[in-house]
Amino acid sequence: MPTLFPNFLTDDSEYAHAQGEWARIWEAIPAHDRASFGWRAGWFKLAPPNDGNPIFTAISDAQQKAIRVIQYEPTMDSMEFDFWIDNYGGNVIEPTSIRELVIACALSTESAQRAFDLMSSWVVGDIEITRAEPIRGITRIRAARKSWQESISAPDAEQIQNEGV
Amino acid sequence: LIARVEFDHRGRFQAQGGRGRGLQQSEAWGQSEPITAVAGHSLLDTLWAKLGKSDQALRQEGFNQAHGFIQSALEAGGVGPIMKTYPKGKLRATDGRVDVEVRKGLAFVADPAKST
Repeated sequence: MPTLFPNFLTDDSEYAHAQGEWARIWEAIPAHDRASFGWRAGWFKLAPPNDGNPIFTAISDAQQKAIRVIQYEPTMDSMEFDFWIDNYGGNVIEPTSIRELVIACALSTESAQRAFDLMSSWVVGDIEITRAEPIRGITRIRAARKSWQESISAPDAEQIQNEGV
Repeated sequence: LIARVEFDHRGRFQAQGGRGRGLQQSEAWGQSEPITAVAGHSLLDTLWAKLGKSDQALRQEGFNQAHGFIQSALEAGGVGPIMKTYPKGKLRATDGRVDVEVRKGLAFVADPAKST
């Protein structure tokens, strides 16, 4: 399994490339999906130390939803990926609290694909991710969309994706 | 009528994760001046004291690193809005963890009474 930027915590250049990779994954989500609920990357201004915690953030103020990605160094050859839903700024009943999708992973081509699936689903809000059934909705979205790698390499990919959803 | 006071400096520590539904314990601050690092450490200790021994054991490293973050923030002159999850390294949904949430304003500054 190709691991991407495994030395990102000790090599500033790799760290910058890893950040760039997360930006590419984010930008592979159809622009109109991101725009429809006012999503924007850069929920937080990330400052040193470059510890991957978080390495990427995005927020939709309109939806009161956010995305936070924590990247860590790979510890094994197989995919390392997990996620959960959290509340930022108080309990879920707080009117100003934000529901966030937290992704924690070592970056690889497989984890990037899975992150894309989750993030793109979360952005349009067409699934509810629960701990009990974390895969069901994602599988459905996967069937409807091309991979993020395909979407950024094909100029007309966004139109194809939109027709497919 | 319940009046909501919007403080200029807000945040919270939250102990999370664990098996089943997971732990949800938190300690929040909201005040007109930035919380000092000393007060931050104290609030984190308060959260720690609310946990049972098994929950503490699962989050020992996370709390240690969160204290370290407060100290680093102090040395940097405080920290603005951010969300950090500890411990660092490989993390799964069921792992015990602690979040440091600075929602608004500045946090973990030096005690102004001692810096003058």
